[in-house]
Amino acid sequence: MKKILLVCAAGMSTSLLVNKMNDAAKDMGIGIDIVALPISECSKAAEEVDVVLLGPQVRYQKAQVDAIVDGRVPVEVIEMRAYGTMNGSAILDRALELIDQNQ
Amino acid sequence: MGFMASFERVMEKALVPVAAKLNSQRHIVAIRDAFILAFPITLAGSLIVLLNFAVLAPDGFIAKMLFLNKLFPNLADFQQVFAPVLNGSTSILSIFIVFLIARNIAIAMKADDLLCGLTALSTFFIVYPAYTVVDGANFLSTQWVGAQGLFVAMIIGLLVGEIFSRLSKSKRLQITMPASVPPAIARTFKVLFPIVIITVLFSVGNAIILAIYPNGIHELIYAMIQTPLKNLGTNIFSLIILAIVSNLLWVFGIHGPNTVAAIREGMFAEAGLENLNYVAAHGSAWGAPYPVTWAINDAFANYGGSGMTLGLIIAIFIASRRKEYRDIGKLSIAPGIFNINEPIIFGLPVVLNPILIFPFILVPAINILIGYIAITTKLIPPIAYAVPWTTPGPLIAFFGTGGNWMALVIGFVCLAVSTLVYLPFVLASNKAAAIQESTGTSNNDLPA
Repeated sequence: MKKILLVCAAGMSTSLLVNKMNDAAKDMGIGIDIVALPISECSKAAEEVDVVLLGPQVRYQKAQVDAIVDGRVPVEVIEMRAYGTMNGSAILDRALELIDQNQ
Repeated sequence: MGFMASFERVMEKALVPVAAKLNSQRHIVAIRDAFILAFPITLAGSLIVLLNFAVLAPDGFIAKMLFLNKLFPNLADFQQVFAPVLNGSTSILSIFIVFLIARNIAIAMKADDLLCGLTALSTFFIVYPAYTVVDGANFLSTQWVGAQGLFVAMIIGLLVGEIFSRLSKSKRLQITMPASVPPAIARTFKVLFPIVIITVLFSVGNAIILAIYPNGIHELIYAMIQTPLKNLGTNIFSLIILAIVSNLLWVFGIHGPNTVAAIREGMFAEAGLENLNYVAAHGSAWGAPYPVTWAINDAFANYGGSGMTLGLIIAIFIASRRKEYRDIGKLSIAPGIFNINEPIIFGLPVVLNPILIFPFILVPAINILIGYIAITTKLIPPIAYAVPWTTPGPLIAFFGTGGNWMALVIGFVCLAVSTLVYLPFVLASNKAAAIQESTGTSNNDLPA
């Protein structure tokens, strides 16, 4: 089961995205475990996931997240348009791509 | 368009590095996250006080709506039960903050965050004014554990956070126990020297400060830092400027409220808390000591989220024929009711949109002024109750004033005004998009 961490400011907008990504995963017939957390609370979860995605509005905190993750897994900022339109399948595809590249 | 492009370039060069720093600098982040973490407790306290005066008091607005005093004539007696609730939240906020700030710094520097927080808590009371002895019993003053003590809490939290984290990394200061010792004991011995050093350091420092300034460090910091900052904050110009800065950051795709959070708390936290204490003591928001607080922004200028984007969404539904606008509108309205606006900000997008950035910044400023005028002309009382920021906008004004119907009305007035101001910009934006389509250019290449 691939695990994905979504990080934003309060965990609100990313939790919307989680639902869309779960729907997309169901359509694709794969099992994933997605969790959405605010930056201030993500350090524990970051240790257990396969990829970390940041909402574009917190891209300037990527350095903070990079420090927490320490290169263990990929960390990337979600593309703005995909995030705004809550395009679950596009973002899921990118997440899986990053996980594969890292294996 | 040339002006717009060069304006954007100047802003990117000047604003973005500053915003990047504010969002990642560990002290600022520690302060911001500490207030975020402590907020649920303040909020719970506020809601219970609201409950106390809206439901249990015979003249509370919910009691009147539901005729509760007819059904339960003795409800007012139960107000006593909830009266002490703020003793556990706003009245001791500094205690939460000093622990959380030190703990956050330790997390950022990968040190033992729990022990760091505890050490900061300990230090907080070491430098606290001495016990008052009355009839042989020791009493601690409550003056500096709440809103008034916030800055000392912040300073101690940061200092202890830094010193502890650095000292605990030094191998020479670590007492390493043999492997057979239980981990919990090994953990405490590992940081024993740093804790002792910090205790000694702050005891000596406190003694020195008391020698120079006998009124003590709390009076000193309160007079020199906290009060000037509070005065700076609780006036309408600072409020509007900070709101404009926060929204300007959003235009560049940076989370505005997060970036300015540390400054905002420094300027407005005490005032907001004092208002809450006032309603807890008096049962009504009328006469609350600070008419101008950040709460005006949340109550009147933040519907749909930063930029009063609920007005934008409504304007889109009224005026826009373009499919992609209406699609984003439909996508954004549900989160928008709860003041979450990332879908519309990044989806329309509003970010770096040369037409929409004007109303995005202008509309909240106008709404803040409307709210401010309503409060200073005593049309409505100051906003005194803390309400979750995801509460639908007009309800924040309603509950924040303790159930004032006029505040609800003013809220809807602000919504109407914002929709009206957004309308021409939505039309202009549609026209611009139509022109671009017909000339075959695209404005969709935004910086990554």
